[in-house]
Amino acid sequence: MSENSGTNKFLRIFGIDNQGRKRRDPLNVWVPLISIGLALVVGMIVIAVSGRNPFRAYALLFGDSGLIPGGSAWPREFAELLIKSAMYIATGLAVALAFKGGLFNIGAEGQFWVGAIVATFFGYWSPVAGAFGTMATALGSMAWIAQLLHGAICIILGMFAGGAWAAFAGFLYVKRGVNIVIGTIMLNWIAWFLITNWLVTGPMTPPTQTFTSGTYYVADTAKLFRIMMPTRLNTSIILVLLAAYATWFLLYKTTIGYEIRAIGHTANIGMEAPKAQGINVNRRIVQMMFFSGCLAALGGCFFILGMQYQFPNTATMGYGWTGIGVALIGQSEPIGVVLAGLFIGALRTGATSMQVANIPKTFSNIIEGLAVGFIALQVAVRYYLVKYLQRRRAHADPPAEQEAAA
Amino acid sequence: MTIVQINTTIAQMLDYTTPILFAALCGVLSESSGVVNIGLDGIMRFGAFFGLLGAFMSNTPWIGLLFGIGIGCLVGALHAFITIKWNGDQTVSGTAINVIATGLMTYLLEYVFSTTGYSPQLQNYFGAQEYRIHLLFLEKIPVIGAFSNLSFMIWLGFICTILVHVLLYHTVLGLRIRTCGENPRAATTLGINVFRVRWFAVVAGAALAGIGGAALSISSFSGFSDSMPNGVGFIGLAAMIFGKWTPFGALGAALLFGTGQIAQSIIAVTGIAPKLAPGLTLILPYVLTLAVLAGFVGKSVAPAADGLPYYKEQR
Repeated sequence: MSENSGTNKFLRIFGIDNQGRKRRDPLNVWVPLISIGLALVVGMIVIAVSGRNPFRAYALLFGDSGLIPGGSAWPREFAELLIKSAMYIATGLAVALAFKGGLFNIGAEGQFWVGAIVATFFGYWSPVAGAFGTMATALGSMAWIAQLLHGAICIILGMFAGGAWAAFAGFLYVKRGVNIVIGTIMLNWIAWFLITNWLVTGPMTPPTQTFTSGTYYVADTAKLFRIMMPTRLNTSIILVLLAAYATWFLLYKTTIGYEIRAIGHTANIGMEAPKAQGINVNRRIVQMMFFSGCLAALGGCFFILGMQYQFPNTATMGYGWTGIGVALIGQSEPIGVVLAGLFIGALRTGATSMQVANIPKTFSNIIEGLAVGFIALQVAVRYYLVKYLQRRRAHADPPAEQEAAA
Repeated sequence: MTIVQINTTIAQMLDYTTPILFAALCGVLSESSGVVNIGLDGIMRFGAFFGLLGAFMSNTPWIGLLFGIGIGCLVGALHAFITIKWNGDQTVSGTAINVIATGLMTYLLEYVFSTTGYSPQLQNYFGAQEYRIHLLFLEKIPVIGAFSNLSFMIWLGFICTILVHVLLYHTVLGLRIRTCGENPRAATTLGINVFRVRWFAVVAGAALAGIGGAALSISSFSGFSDSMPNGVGFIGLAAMIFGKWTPFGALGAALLFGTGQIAQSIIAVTGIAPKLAPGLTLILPYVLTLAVLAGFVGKSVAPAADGLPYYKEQR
């Protein structure tokens, strides 16, 4: 790397300048970008092989993704992009935080839904909803205070529940040696079946409604504020950016964060160094899982309080799985996760329009999965990239010069 | 409950068991060699779609079965390529396979059949009467009578369990597979090519998962639905752990979890318990697995080198 200060500043945002990481250098930025590029190329091939026009498809995909301003539909698409991204960034941050601590929290999915169902419950539960309803009427024009408080309570309790759900997996890991991947997968399905096949179709369904209608709707005071009126854009994107900042702050500016990273760096070799340093590793792992679960559950709260306003019976899994992709593409750095989340959100938004070209909207899953696949292949990507760079450098300056420089 | 009712319930339970069993066997084979495969849910989705495709095009389920095996091998080879050839993270690779399967099968379903949600129904599938294996002399016996009229796939599941058991515990290759899973360095010292053994175990395992997927779409059901395999792969993963990473353990766990899947109808028919919400019985496999892992109900221990990439030069 040349000592160009602009480039360094750019890299520093990705957390790459620190001494300890110099070895892993700028490739950390290039690997996800190349993975996405390769994924898009393979996606193109898939479309072309199935006899459709890949250029038309991609024009639709990116044209309607909300990334490119202009056109009458743009505000709506932009709003959709941000609403979707907020949820993916939240689950992405959850997975990224655990990655930083050396754990694979594959359970963001379950934590997301636990957060969602708890937020729903406190959104409609009459003692809470009634109290805030009365408060809103009493306050009159200041009713937004009631909305702020009620929303905050729903989100805080939802996050707490999701955090507890994740912390349980962390507890099983440190106390009983249950592999975190297996433990969180099991907890995912336990949460999913308990919620969708019991709570949503049973105790939380309004008695007058049919079996398939989902839960009660949350009170108006529990809904997130809308900030761009004709569209459904709400405060979720602001909240998630704050969460990303908080995650960055926690990781890089606090003792806990330092200890989490110390655990993560040594996770494969027994964590001797942090233990010798007197870090209570077990406790930190459970705390880390708690924070991770909180972030995933935040996404679940957005899903309910910002989009659906009830827990629908038609909810489908996928937010947590996508979060894994987001965290991997973002290389587990909060800023990277935000960018990756926006990208995935854009894909999801644009993919709806691809149906015009007879391409199902799950096409975005293919791109996402391929990108994750290429990141899993990153050793190969790095290998060929370094080889390519070396060859180019050899072409650029004659070997003699290189030796003199060294 | 009449004899017929008992027998049909058991037969139905076996229908649910088979895909779980194949998934669990895939896990057993792959993880015995030290490669975690959480992508087996995705591989089953591939197997389910291509199994149906083969059966649909040729109008015979046998070709569907072959398609299931073939696609299983292919996706397994992809997993092996990423994790063994390039030492990629096994969980990440598995996640990628799951996500790709979700998107690609929906895409292909729309592309091949121009439908969303469900493929056309098959006339000739392993669940159809003429493809079932009839052992009519058993019909009148309680419990055993359930075996009088089963799909070929169920028998294949039992056969594969025995085959995997024999392979792992009674052949040289099996010993090598287990050595690679427990201590790849020792295996290398003994002159075993760890990479080649792991390639075999992963691809063969994935072929089993492919059959498991086909068992869903051309045996238990007569078509592919977009929600398949609906987490069966993960139940299989749970069954593998619950069965302590052994083929017969996996069979036992799969039978137990298969019973859990139809617990609803058992409760409804017999009335032995108050009516429960489906969610409360569906979580059983996962709760039991967590309990086993946590050591509350016996202890289940994974192969020592499970999930670790092997670097030959590393000390």
